[in-house]
Amino acid sequence: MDDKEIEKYVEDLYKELDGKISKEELRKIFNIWLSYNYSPEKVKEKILQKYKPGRILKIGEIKEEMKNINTVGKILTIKLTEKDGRRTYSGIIGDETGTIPFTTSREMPFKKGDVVRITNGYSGYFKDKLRLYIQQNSGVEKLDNYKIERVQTVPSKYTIDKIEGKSRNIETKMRILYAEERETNGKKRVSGIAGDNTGTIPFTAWNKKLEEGKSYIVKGAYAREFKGKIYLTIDENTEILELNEDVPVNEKIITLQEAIKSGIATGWFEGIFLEVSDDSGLIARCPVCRKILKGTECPEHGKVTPINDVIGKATFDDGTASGKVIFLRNEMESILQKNFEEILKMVVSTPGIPVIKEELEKRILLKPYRILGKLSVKDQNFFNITIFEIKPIGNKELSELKERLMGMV
Amino acid sequence: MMAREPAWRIFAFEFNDSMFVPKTGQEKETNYILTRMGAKINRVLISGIIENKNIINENTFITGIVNDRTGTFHISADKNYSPLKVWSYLFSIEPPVRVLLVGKVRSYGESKNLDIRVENITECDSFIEDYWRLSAAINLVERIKIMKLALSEEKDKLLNMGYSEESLNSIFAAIENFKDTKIDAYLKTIKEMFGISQEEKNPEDVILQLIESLDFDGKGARYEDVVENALKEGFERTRVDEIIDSLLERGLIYEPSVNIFKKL
Ligand SMILES: [Zn+2]
Repeated sequence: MDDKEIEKYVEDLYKELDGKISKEELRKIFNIWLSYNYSPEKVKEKILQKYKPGRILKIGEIKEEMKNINTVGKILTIKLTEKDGRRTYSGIIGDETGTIPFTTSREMPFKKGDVVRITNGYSGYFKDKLRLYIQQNSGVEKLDNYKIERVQTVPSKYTIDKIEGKSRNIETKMRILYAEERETNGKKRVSGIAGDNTGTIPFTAWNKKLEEGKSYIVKGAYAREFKGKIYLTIDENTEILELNEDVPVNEKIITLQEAIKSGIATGWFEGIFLEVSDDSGLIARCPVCRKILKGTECPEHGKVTPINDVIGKATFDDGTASGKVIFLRNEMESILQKNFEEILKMVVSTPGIPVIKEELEKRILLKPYRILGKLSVKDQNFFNITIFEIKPIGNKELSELKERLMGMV
Repeated sequence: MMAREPAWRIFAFEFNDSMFVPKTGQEKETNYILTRMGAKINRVLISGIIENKNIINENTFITGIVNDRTGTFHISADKNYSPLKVWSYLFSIEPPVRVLLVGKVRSYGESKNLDIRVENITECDSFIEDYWRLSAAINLVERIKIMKLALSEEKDKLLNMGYSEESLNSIFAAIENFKDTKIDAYLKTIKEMFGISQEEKNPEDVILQLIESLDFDGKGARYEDVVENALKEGFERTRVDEIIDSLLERGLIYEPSVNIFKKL
C-alpha cells in the first residue's frame, strides 16, 4: 500500500471524525495498525470504533467481527421459530448500501417493511454468511418517520447461459456484439446482442451508452422472458463499467431448426451458402423510411429522391433448415472487401453484368461460414436472417467442432 | 409455401443403410429416404473424391461415384434438366477430384437404385472436406443420442425435452422399420474415424472451469455463485462442496477470503 492510498484513508477519517483527531495523529495510528497486517478497511473500522463509538453504520459498512454496532435498516423478511421453548427471530434487513441476515432471541414485534434502529449488536460469520446478532441488551426500536426507499441487494454473478427469465439483480461481464440506438418517447434506448464465453443474449439498455465491440461489467440488470426467450434489461439503476480488455465470446452455435422452433430471433448460425439470389445488387431506398423502392415513389412518403444502397440475398443451410439471408450494406462491404464507392464503381464499369451477384458467389457459394444474425419467421415454412456479422470457418472453428464432437461421444 | 428441404450432411455408410419412404400417391410428391439412424432425407450435402464418371446416353447423361472414405455415393446429372453450370463442370472434370456437392435423392432403374441428382457442385480442398466430415459426425451423434432416448422414453416426454416432432417421427419410424438399431456399431465407426478414445468429462475440471469463469474481477468467485451455476450443470450441492475441498487440498484453488475461491 503506498502513501497516496493511505492519505486517502486519512482524509476520510479526518472528515468522518469532524477533525477531532489531527491528520498526523491519524497517519501514525493508521500505519501502526497496518504494520500488524490488518487490511486498510479493517484499520479504518478500528479507528472509527475507538474514536466514534456511537455512530450509526450503514448496513454495507458492517464487516466481520464488529462489536457495538448501531445501524438503521428496513426489514425485508422476518420469521419466528420456536424450538424447545426458545423463541428465535431471524430475517434480513437492508438499506441503500446492502443487506444482512440477522438473528436474535430478543422479542422483535415487527413486520416486513418496518424500519428499525438497532444498537449494540455484533457481527460474525455463521454458515458462510456474515450475520448481525442482536443481543438481549441490544436496543431495537421501530422508526415511524424514517424512510428507506431503495434497498441495495448484492448482485449475483451470472454467466450469460445461466441467466433465466426470473433472474434479478444480475451482475455479468459481457461484450456488445451488436448495438442499435433508437429514441423512444425522448428516452435513449440501445438494443442489441451481448455475449460472453458461454453464450449470447439480446439486451435493451435505457439511457446508457453501450458501444458495439466494447466489453462491460453490468451490475444490477434484470431478465425477462418473452415467448420462451430470455432478454436482459439494463435500466437507469444498473451500474455499467467499461472494461479495457475484450470479454471472450463463445460463438455458441444454435441450429436454424432450434431457432425457428423456440422463436429465438438472434444468435450465431453455422452453415453453407447454397445459392446467391438474382436480386442481389444495387437498390434504391426512400431517404425517410429506408423502404426499398421500385421507382422514385414511396408508398408512405410520396415522390422522393431515392438513395443508393446495396443488398445481397442468399440461401443459407445448416443441415437442419434452409432459408434466405440478407446482407445489408456493412456486411456487403465486408464480404466483398470494397467500400460502397468501390462497389458503385464496379457496377458502372461492367454494364449489363450482374457483377454484385457474381462477386458474392465467388466469395460465399458452397463455402462454410458462421453468421451472427437476427432470424424472423415469416410463417412456419419460411424465415429470413439479417446478418450482423459474418466470418469464414477457419482452423479455430474446426478445432472447436472437433472438441464438440469429442465431448459428445 | 413449402419449406425448403435442408441439405443433410450425411456419410455414405449411413446414406446407403436406408430405405425409400413409401409414397402416398399425391402429385409432385417429394422423394425421401429414411436411414437406420432416423434421418429422413430429400437433399444432401456431401464431400469426397469423385472416383470415376461415365458420360452415357449419347452425351446426355453423366453418372459418377463419390467416395467419402466411409462408402460411396452414386451421383448423376442430366443434360436437359440439370443446371448448365453443373452439367459442364461434371462433363469437363477428370477424376479423381475432391468436391463438395448438394443434390437431391432419387431412385432409378428397375431395382430402384439410390442416386443423388446434383444441384450444385464445386471443387474443394481438404479443409472443407474435414469441416464437412465433422459436421456430418456431429449430426449423426446427435441423432444417436435422441435414438437412445427414444428406445426407453415415450415420445411425449421427448417432445417436452424440446426435440422437434418432425425429427422424433423419423427416429421412431426408423426404430420400427429397422428393428436392430446398430447404435454401438455406428458409434464405434465414428470414434475410429476421428481417433477418439473413451474418456469421461472430469467433474473437477467442470468446477474448476466454473471458478475461473465466475471470477469476474480477478478477486475470485463467490461460493454461492459457483454452487448456483454447478446445480444447473447437474451437480448436487454436497458434491460441489466435496469437489471444492478436494481442489483446495490439491492446491488447484485457494480461498483469498472467506467463501471466495480463486484458481491458482
Ligand atoms: Zn418512405
